[in-house]
Formats: sequence, structure tokens, C-alpha cells
Amino acid sequence: MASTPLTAASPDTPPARPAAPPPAEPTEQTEHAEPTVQAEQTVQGAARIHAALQKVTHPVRINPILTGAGILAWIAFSVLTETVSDSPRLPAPDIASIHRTTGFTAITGLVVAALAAGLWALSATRGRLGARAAGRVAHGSAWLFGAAVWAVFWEISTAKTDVLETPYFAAPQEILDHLWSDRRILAESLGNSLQLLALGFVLGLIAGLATGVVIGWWQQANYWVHPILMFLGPVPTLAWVPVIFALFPTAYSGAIFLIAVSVWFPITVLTRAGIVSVPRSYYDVTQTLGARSWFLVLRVSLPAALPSIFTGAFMALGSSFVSLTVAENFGVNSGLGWYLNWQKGWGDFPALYAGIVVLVGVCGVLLTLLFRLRGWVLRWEKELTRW
Amino acid sequence: MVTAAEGAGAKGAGAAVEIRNVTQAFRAGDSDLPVLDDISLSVRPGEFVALVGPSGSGKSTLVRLLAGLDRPLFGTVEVDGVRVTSPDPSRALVFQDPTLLPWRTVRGNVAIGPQTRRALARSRARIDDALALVGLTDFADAWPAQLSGGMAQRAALARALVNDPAVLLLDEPLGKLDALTRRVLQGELLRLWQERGFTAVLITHDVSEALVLADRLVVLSPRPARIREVVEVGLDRPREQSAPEFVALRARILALLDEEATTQPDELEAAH
Repeated sequence: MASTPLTAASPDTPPARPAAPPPAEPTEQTEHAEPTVQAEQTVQGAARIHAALQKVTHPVRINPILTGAGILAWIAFSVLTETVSDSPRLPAPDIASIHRTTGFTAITGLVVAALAAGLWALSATRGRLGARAAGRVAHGSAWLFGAAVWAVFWEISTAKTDVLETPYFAAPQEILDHLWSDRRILAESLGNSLQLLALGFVLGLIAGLATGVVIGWWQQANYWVHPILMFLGPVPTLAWVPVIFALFPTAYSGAIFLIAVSVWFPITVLTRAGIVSVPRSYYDVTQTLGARSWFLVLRVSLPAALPSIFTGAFMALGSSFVSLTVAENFGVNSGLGWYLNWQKGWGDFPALYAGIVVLVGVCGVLLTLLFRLRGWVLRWEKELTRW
Repeated sequence: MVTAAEGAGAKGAGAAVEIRNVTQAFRAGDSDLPVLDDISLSVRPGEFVALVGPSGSGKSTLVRLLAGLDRPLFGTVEVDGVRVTSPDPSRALVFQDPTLLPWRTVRGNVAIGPQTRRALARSRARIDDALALVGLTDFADAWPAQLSGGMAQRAALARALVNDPAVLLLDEPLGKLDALTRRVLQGELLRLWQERGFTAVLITHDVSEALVLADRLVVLSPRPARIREVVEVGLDRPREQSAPEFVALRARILALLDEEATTQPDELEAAH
């Protein structure tokens, strides 16, 4: 900051020019030659600086051995799945299930290998697309290889040898088979789950923000609400289930409430914490600019509390998943939580795993989306280029 | 409030400031801490007054009273004959820290004033003018975290000036800047004051800075602050720091401050 006082002080004036030629040699020749030499040196310097910076900011190094090994390992997985015969010890239904999807599984492996190879080829091209592809390949090659090793191990230990015994362990093919054959009911469950989660989360978020702002601003409200928050907030969702389903007219409304409560608690606590810690100078300065209470509440304290609120949102998302699966197991007879419980009742482990795969995907995607949202909303917080 | 002629910055837009017998004290733990002791001061419209005093002497407290952020225990503060009871955009305050709202761009920060009056749409040109005035046009869309100290303080200045204040309160606005930036911004402040004609009250512990900028210097004693002496500067601007009159004046004021600093045995006791 302090190291560039000149540019800092007058950003609109051009940068300082090189000093006049040294007065020691006042001949005409040097006076004319000097500036051009200096200019050339500057340009050379700029090119060197650019190259050096490129190395610092883009340390992308694709490891060809690792990437190649990853691609080959996925091909090996496909070949293994397709050519090696399945274990004769497998029960008949499993054999049938594996048979249905073996070809598909082998193709999946080849598709992964082809995608990786394609991306690798793309990374050789110039421009932004190539740079992005190079980044992806460099970053993902270890995972590519690791996942292939895991897939081969999984395939051998289940379908090919039955070392990890059925029905508790399932081959990749069987999970794919269930994902496909149960696609209708899984999609329906996913839709119902997302709807219930969205309703509960949004309601809890609004209520939490409102409570947090109110108790962060008004001492009197804090006096009454804070103890309630501290005692009722941390009670696990499961404990509320009997009460809520007795008090609420429908199981669905009870489930929404259950999720909303589990979101409300962390959002309220962290909104309040964020608002309480807003520097007083923000209020002072906006007040002298003419701001009145609503401006202070909505346009100063709330944005200033956003980093804290997002921390609350991450906690809320986690606890809302818990509440969702709990609610779906009690009373609400649909959704992914219900699907898992239902398949458990049948003892159908491959189907259970298929449901878990979907749930894992949902949680991961939602969390990633929240991270992206946070990154965008709090972009002012990032360490950006300084002038 | 917003007229067509605004932004022209006609000379003589400054307001008169009248501080009458102001006493202020705070409670620090169990003891009462007097900060200002019976301060009276008149500032003419468009005048540039600097308050100098040892650190912790209550200079900032006085500025908060002028801004209307706090109210005095005793005495009154009046601006153009109207008693100050709450903050008002006609009295702009620039702190030592730029205190830009970090989630707003430079332009967004400058826009706070118009936005509080719901005049954002018709104030676009005013905001651009304010940014141009402090030379930040090219950085209008930068985030505060990206600015250097000097640029951030310029943005804070633009944010204050967009309201076309009658009084500009400057609470050590250049205190945290490096010497070079500080010199440049002193020149900028002087230019803005001459162009816009507001009344300026500057708080500083830098005697040279006060002498370069102000019409009058008010020398305060250590806490609780009393007015020790009011010095008319009476030199033509731009002032040359090496001029003999300047040097003599500087030496006189520094001597006053030194004297005060050494004759305060009870200061520590009062703080406890």
C-alpha cells in the first residue's frame, strides 16, 4: 500500500517518466540515444516480467504419466468388467442384475477415459479454453487415476470374486441397474425431497434473518428471545418429531416446520453475531451522510453481517439435510429419506446404495451451489489485485 | 434540497459554526473522565480552522459533537444559528480511517448520500462529478479492498463532498498516510476548499499541516481540553514551509504544545 505512494496519490496522472539524460555527458548524440535505449530496456523488462509472472500465476503442470495411467486404468476397468466372467458364487438375482448392466458399465468406463483424453488434447490448444482444460487436467489427474483404481478394486471384490459378500456389498453394475430401473421413483423422491427442503429452508432462512436482525438491534427483543434461542435451538430434530406431528394439522406442514427450525437456529445465531460485531464507525459515517434507521439496518448492518450469515447458512444446510431425512421417515411418505427407509425394509442393499448415491449427489451439488453463491456475493471480501 | 444549480460549488456556501461553553465527559470504568472543559469557539462561514493538540486531548470528541453524533453534557453547538442535535448531510465528516463500506464499490460508497435521500437516479452526474473532483473516475468500479490508503481517503472525501456540505469536518484525515501522499492530498484539500467554499474544521496533530492549510489554529491543552490559544496564520497561500514567518510560527506553536505536555502531572490520575 505504502510502497506505491505516487500512483496511489494521483491515479489519473501518467506514471513517472524516466529522468532526463544524465548531465555528465551533454553531447547531442547521447541526448538522443539515451531515451530509446531506456525505452527498449523497459520493453524487454516488461516481456521478462510477463513470462516470470506467467510461471508464478499459472503453475499448471500436467503430469503425463499420471494422466496417462488414469486413462489406461479406466480402459482396464472396462475391459475387466466386460471380459472376466462373474463369480459363480453370486446368487441368481444378482447375476441377472449384473448381466443387464455389464455392457453399460463398461461403456461408462470408456466414456470417462475418452472425456479425460479429450480434455487432455484440448489443453494443448492455445487460448483461454486450452488454459482452462489444462487446469482441469492438471488438478484432476490424481483423482482420475485414484477413482479408476477404486473402481477396479470394487469390481473385482464384488462382481468378479464375491470377496465382499452379497447382499451387504453391491457391484457397481447393480447400483447402476437400480438407478436405472428405479429411475421413476427416484426422480419422484428427489423432486419431493427438494420441494420439502426448499420450503423449509427458505422459511427458516427468512425467519432466521428476521429474528437475527431484530435481536441484534433491539436490546429488549434480545432479552426475551436470546434465552429461548439458547435452550430450544440446539434440541435435536428427532426429539421434536412426536410433538410436532401431534401439533401440526398435516405431516407435511410438520415436516416443513421441522426443517425450518433446524435452519432458523444457526441463521439466527450467526446473523445476530454478525450484526453485533459491525464496527460502529460504519454507522457513524453513514449517519453523517444522511442515513436513517432503516438504511442502517438494511443497508449497513445486514451486508456487513453477510460473511457471518453465510457461515450460518452452511451449518443450516447441513442440519436441514438431517431434518429432511428424519421428517421423511416419520409421517411424510415420499422423498429420498423415505425411499431409503423403504428399501431398507425390503433388505434391498443395492437399491439402498442407489438411493444414497442420489442423496450424496444432491448434498454435494447444493453445497457447491452455496459455495458459488457465497463467492459471488462476498466477492468484495476476496484478496483482489491492489492498486 | 437538490436544485439545478447544484454542483457549481459557488463560493460562500460555508456555514457559520458557533461552539458555546461546551463541556463533555465520559465514564471510564468507575471514574468520570472529563474530556472537554468549557470550550467556546466561533468559526466564520467559509473559514478553514485547524484544531491542534496533544493526542488524547479530546479533539475527536469535539468533532463528533460538531457532526451531531454525540451531544455535549453542557453547552451548545450551533451551525448557522441552528442547534446541532443529530447528524446531517450538510455537515460532512471524514475520519482518519476512510471507513468505506467494503461491500460497495467506490461509486457505491459515493452514492450513499444521494441514496439516503432517494435521489440516486437523478444524482448520477453529481456522483460522477464528485469522483472526478478527487481524481477517482477510473476507479469508480473498484472495491475498497483494492485501493491504496491515499485513494481510499480520496474516495471518502468524494463521498462527503457529493452532499455539497456547508461544513466539512476532517478528523485527522491524512494521519495514516505516508508523507508523499499526505503532501499531495493537502494540496487537494486546499483546492477543494477554495473551489467549493465550505467551512472546514481540521483536526490534526501535525502543526505544519495545520499551518499549510488553515486560516486560524486553535491550540488545545491536554485532557480535559481547554482552548490554550487561537493563532491567526495570516500568510498568503500557497504557503512555503521554509519561509521564515512559517518557521517562526511553527516554533511558537510547538513551544506552546510542549509547555502543555510537560505541565500536566494530574493527567494520568484523571485517567485512572
